[in-house]
Amino acid sequence: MSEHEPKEIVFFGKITAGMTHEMKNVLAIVRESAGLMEDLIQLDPSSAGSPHAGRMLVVLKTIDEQVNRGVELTSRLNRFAHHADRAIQSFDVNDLMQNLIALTQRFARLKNVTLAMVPGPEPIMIESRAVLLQMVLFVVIEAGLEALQPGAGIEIHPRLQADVCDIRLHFRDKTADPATIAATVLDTASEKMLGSLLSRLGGSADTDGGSESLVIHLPRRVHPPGAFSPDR
Amino acid sequence: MLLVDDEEDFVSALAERLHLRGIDARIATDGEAALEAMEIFLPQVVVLDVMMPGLGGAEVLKRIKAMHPELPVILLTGHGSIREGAAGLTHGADGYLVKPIDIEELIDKMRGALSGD
Amino acid sequence: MSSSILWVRVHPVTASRKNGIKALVNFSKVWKWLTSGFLLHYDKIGAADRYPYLRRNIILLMLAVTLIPLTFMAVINSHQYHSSLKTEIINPLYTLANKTKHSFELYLEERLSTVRFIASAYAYTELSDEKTLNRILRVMKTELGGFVDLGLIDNQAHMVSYAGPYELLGKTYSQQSWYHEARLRGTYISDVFMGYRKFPHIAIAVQQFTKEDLGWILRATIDTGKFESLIAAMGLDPASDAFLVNREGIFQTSSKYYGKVLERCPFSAPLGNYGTSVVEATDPQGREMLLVFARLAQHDFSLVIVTPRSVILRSWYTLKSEMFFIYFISVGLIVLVTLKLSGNLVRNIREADEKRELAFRELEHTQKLSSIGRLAAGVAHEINNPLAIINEEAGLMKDLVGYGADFPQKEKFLGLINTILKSVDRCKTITHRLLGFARRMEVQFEPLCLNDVIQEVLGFLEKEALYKNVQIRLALAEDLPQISSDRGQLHQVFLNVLTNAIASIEASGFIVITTWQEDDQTQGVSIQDNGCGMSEETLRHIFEPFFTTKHGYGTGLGLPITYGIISKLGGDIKVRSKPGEGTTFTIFVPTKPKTG
Repeated sequence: MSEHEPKEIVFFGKITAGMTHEMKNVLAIVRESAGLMEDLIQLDPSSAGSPHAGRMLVVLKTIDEQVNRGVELTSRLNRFAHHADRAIQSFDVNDLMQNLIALTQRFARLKNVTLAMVPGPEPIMIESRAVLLQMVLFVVIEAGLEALQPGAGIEIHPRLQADVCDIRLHFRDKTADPATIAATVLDTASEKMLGSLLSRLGGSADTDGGSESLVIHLPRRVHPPGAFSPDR
Repeated sequence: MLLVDDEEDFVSALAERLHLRGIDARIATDGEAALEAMEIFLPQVVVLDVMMPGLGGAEVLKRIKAMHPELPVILLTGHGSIREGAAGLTHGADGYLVKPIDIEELIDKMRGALSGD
Repeated sequence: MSSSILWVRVHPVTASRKNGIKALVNFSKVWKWLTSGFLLHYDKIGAADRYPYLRRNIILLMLAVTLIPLTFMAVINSHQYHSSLKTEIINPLYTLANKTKHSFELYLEERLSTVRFIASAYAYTELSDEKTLNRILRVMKTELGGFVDLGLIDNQAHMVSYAGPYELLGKTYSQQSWYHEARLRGTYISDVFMGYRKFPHIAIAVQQFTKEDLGWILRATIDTGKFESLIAAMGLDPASDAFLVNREGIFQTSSKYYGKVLERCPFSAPLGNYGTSVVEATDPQGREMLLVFARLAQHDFSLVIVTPRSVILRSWYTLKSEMFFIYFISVGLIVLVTLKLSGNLVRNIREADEKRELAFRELEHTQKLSSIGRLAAGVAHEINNPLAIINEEAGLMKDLVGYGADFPQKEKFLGLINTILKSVDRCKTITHRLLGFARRMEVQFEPLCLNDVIQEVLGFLEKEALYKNVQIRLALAEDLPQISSDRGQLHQVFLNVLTNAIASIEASGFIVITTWQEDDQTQGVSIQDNGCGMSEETLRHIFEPFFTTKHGYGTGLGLPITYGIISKLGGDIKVRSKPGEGTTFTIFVPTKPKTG
């Protein structure tokens, strides 16, 4: 049973999804065009060996690689956009984290911070609000980027323990102690309404008793709003 | 085979590449044109884009299957999710590819469809 | 009225330290509980029950805090007042009784000493002379007053000399107890008795001895008229009564209400009292009376003042009823105000809570949007990188093909390269649109005039319109009032629609832009062109994302984005079109932001 997501988000999801489809169409054009040129060069006996031909093949290969890159990005964005359609859904946390990291890689790169994920051994299927969870992680990552120095790194470890999914964020920074950074990040993120977002996921965040990481705890199933909230 | 997609640059380049590989591919840039073309010459395989204006890909698929149930149809989609592909298959498609496609993969799928996989 | 005492159970503090500490711990726990404001915390209660719960607790608390002290005070005050009132009324009575008692004592003492003086000053023989006795009586009557007769009784108890109105000469008193008492005691004052002629009298007898040591008694009778006037001099109010009684409770003076002289007094004196005391009793008519008993010193008379309690307590009753009145009105007022106030308060709290919750959700929503927007924008930027590389490489290809030797496929290659370059441009447009859209996820309201906004947009399109020979006709409402809306978004909307309008015009044509005030809440803008128009089929799909009639260029995003913006602003957009004739877009913009 899904909740009614505000229409702007649904709308945005649709727009973005459409955009990614379009991009894929365009990328398909580029691939086929470059591919055709490749074929023609290779099939033409006269030009096959010439240096120009060699150069051109290299160029075309590069183009194809970039097309791949574009495809990857648009796929991720596409999946993100589709998640905006429905609020509560089933998904694999590993996939979601992967997706998110790909999407936020740019922000990390700008600050010269490495962002990586260590996936769990098995898929971690939970029933929750995908977009909201990504937002939560995004808020924490942003707060982390603020607190870290260039050259630092963020590692995300999602794990499943009984009925709780724990997402552990470890902050590595040569200039500071991980536990302190974890605490600072938690504070900054809390100012950005981490608490209220997490409460809608039925989860919580803490520094796990000074274990040098920030942990986000999530129930395997989130329930639609209950008696407390004014939602009727 | 018949290639149906509203992006002309795409289909024409693809058709040419297939020619270079010895495959006779004709193109149509919309559903109606495709159905008309099929009355003139019957392809062995149809490669169909699902997102087209006018007569949409789904409708064309239905009609083709109505007229030629044995004719293999491969769908081209911009969706990356398994769900959409599976949905396509339940409607009678014989395979699907995600855009942008790998030409070798297309040829494989086509061969597979023709040999009755 | 007996006072009630509040008994408070006090736990005895035991000698054991352990118990003492336990008690302290418990006490502090209770104290914490009391002061925690538990009654007013409603976090753990569901929304539906929360506010009635809060209201009920507020009412209970307020009523408790106001009514308990009020009642307490009222009770204490009335109690205090009652007792002090009694004292205030009783004290004067006390004083009066004492004063009057003294007057009685004085009176009797005076008479007694006079008789004693006479008995001492005159010899037995002198007093035996009736003429002398008469003269003495006359003097006593004129100088002192109150004396009725004077008699001399010899040691045989015979009246041997007499001055007075009665026929007592020769009477013998040996049988009378007073005689013996007088002989024994030396002096004697009798109780009131009905003398001859039925007037109440008191007899005073004094013993003396002759030279021969023979005892003789001088006896005088006084009337009790003075008693009456002494009582009258007390000045009591009409409802009160005062009289003299003897030890047996026989009236010595007439009571106003309770009996005549020598009748029995219905009230019994308090036992064992030798001073003045106050007693409450019920009279024969059943009224509650206050009695002041003042015992005379040298004689067993008691002065009794009888006052109805109601007289004393009259002012108490007035106060009591006044107090009740005030108390109940206060209680009523307090309850009324408490109920009303708590209702208002709780309602306000509820509204504030709901507003806050709403604002919170809006904020969360906005945050969400801006997060999504930022993410999407990030990706869009990211995608530009591979696109840029493709662009570069394609450019390089172009150069290689161009500068290389003429090879057969040159034209074809150049065509394909151009296709690639065009595609990259297309992507760029898409990402630009997405970025713009993402940026615009948040609406910022400011006061603006629609006419101005349109003019600004026309400024952007001037060149294009001129180039395509499109005439722009303006029918903008004069003095169109300002509205509150998002300038940037409105720019985008009009830009999109006008761009479409211009694009739909093939060679030359015109566009008419009209603005008007639709109603209090809305303003309208219509953009009409005489371009190629749209079919019904097309009309049905124009707001769908990526629906476009322009293949190869045009993203199909313009109108859906426009629609999205307008609906976000709380407005509406309508299209009318006829193929070959033209299209009219009508946009309704709300004058004030619509929330939610």
